[in-house]
Amino acid sequence: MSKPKINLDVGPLLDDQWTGIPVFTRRLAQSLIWHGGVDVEFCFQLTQIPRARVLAAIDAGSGTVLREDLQRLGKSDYKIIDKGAPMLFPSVKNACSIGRQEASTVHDMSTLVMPEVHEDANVRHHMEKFMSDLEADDTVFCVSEATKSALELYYPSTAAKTKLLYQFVDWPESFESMDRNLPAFNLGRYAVVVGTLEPRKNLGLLFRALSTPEVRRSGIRFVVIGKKGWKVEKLLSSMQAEEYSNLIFSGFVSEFVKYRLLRHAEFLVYPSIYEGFGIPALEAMSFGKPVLASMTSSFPEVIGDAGVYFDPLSVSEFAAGFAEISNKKKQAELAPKAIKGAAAFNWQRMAAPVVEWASSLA
Amino acid sequence: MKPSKLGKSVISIPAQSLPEGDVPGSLFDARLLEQMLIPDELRRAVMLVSRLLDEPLCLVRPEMFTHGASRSWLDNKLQGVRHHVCISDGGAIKVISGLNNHLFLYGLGRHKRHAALRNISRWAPELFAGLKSQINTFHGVWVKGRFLQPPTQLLLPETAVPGVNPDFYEFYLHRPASDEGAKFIVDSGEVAAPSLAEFKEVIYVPLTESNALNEDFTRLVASVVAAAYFNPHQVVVIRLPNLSDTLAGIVQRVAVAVNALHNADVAMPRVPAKNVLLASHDLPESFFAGHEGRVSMIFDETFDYWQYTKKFYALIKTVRFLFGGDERALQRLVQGMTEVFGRLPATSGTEFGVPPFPVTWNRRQPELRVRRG
Amino acid sequence: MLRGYVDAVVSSGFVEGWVYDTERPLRPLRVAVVTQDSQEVASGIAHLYREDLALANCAGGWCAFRLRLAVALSKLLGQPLAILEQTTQTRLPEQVQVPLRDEADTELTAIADIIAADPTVISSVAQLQACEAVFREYLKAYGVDEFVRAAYVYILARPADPSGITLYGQMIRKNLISPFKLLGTLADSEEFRSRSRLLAAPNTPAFPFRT
Repeated sequence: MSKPKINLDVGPLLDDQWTGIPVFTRRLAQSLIWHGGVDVEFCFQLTQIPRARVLAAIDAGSGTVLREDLQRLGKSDYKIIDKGAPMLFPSVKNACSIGRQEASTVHDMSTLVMPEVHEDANVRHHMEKFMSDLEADDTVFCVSEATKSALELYYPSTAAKTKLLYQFVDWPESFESMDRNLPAFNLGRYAVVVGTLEPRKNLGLLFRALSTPEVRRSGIRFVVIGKKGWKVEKLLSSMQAEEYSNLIFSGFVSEFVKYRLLRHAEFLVYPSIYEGFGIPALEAMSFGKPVLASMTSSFPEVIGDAGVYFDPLSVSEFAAGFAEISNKKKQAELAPKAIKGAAAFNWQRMAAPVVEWASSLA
Repeated sequence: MKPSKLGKSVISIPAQSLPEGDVPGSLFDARLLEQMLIPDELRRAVMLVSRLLDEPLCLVRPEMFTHGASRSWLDNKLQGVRHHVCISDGGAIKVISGLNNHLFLYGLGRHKRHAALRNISRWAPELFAGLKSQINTFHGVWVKGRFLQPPTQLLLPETAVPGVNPDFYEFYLHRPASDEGAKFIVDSGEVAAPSLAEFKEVIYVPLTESNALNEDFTRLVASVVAAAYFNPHQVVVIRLPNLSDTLAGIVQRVAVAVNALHNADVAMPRVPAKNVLLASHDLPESFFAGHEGRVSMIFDETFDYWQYTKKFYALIKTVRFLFGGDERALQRLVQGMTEVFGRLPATSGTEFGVPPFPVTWNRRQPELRVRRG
Repeated sequence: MLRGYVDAVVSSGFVEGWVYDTERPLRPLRVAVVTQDSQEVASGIAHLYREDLALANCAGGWCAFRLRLAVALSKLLGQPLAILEQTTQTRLPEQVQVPLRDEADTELTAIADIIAADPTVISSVAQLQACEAVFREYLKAYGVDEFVRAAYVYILARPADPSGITLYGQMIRKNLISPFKLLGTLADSEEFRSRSRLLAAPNTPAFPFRT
């Protein structure tokens, strides 16, 4: 019996630097290939992209070459997609429906429920076609139960067709030996704070908590991974230098440096007020690192019992959680739970609902 | 449309209106808002809504508590709470599953917010089906060919809200309209508040950034202003719009008002008008005390009309309401405003068949009589 | 053909050397250093940059290794060691006397140092100077226009504009600019400097000039 076929839109892979949704797309593509239960064809805006080109982009970890190739005039080796095969969008759709079965993926509902943390143009881009795309979808994949719950709350008519699509964490195989062979580092005791520095990441809470006795006396520093940006500069300018002396800003770093910093940290601090999934948590957990996390949205679902939780708007709760998780005994207690928790998200689990969907349509 | 007390409830407010770092947590006693630096219009809204609630809690971001452990955390803290009032400026509408959700909209006079509400109505109309009621508004949406309009509860203050008199400037239409013209008006200095006793008619127009973009509204207002030049027994007071740019100064606000009337293309003299004044903020009820019978108002659904008492509205002479919403929503609007103004409308508003629908309530129309027995 | 050498055993617990495949010089090799009886003493990837190797035209300088010892240093002293390429299991000739180099144990104590030690990105375009041969191979295989396109993609992360392809293509053909110099020119541009981008090291899959 021949395998069911799907078209997977790889538009997000055309980005130069892959974070968030492009990485999700890459993992989805690889999961489906490894699973082997569906015949995956790659496409972008109804144009079929040869598999070799997509795999080369995945190998390179960047979509610039792929994008450049697509934009060349006179290229004759692209074809139109097989219209008969269902189409899966790993995020919002970038092509109009053409009457075939299709599914899109909802990562979070922040453009609807907290538009103030987004640029207006971004809100419009996400929301203008959102409802009509949902209506046209045969199935709507949601990256977490939290996203699914939020979607069904605001769009009750989607309840019958939502499915979960969990991603997983993976590191290049070579990173472990690369880390081992480089000089060890000694930053003292430190925790990692990951994410781009935007309002919903709630770094303001962390900054306010720096002056609490629990944090000040701990001797633990915070390595903030990401570009500083003017918003953080503004936050810092309202503080005394000694208040933030235990903050270290890494600036933009490579995936490998991020790996090293996470691997040797004591724990991850994740004070976001809202996330669709929270892959940095899983990344930390894959090293046995527990997470000091906001009690919000997808965090309890992804982090489970590998986390210490706090009210994301309460400095005192953050400080109490910090005191708990900075205890080495607590870290040792949570480490195996973190490993187990991260392992529960894997490529098989990511591929399964898509294969099931494609099979049901075949 | 009488409001029903909601008992133990939780409110949510636009999180970005809260001073960062000032909140004790995601959920706290709503009375703490009284001590926080929040915008006046939000404060008014919270104070009004609190009348319906017993010991209200304030939940800063309902969207954080979607399901599972986070929702259990919230439920544990919301013991006995059955109602949630989302106090929204139109930017986002939050609902909490399992509770009765009510919507209170304020500040739609700022164009960005009004536009945001229209967008939400298009992008997520189903959420309105989940609302138990809306307070003071008559918003409706179309969902798959069906018109959805959550029932309206009317809630106005019982006593006049105290306020200070605004600053006044003489209106002057500079052509071509420019920011220099607005600066000229402000630089000419403030003028004394009009002595209402000297006028036979007082026309008050709370201009909003939203209705300043509405050609039908501005044409109506411009006509009234033009007529006032030739009627010294009339005074027209135009409340300057509050702008989406909260840092905008008085000159920018004057510019928006004057440019709006300029664009209405109604002829009027190019001289300052001593009886057409621009007011820097809302006129409190006390400003009109004793003269209500000579006051007419012109506004639309973007004005927070609920800041005045029913008693005030019952006393004023005329209200002209230009409703820009869906015709299907008009019926309830007329019903509701009739209850607010205490009299039947003189016009139904549907004469032209397309929005905006002008509805007028005049003093001389039959008053509502409550049937007894 | 494999070329390589174990330079030294380091007292801080590492073994250093270099190895590359002359036919595919930018493909980093998975290597182990083994004793005479094939006991593995260290393993990893030969992908670090060393200026002396660049000057010697060895894989543009990007073929060094420094591997943490998995056995006690004392067990290695005086022992012959060999490089084993792990994918093909090709073993280079044994070296009878590998010198011991004294080196204080160093730890990285600043983020800047951790970032500087990152072998997956280059710290400056100057580290590509010795890759001229690689660039020439690319030119030969794919042509000048393709090289210019790849240069834009690599440095500026965008497709080349037609005028750029024409201008720089002509300059390369007329030997007015070397391939390496073109990369330098693009890296000096306001466009590149205004965006924080990390440039992939030549021995990573993201380096577009590998043939």
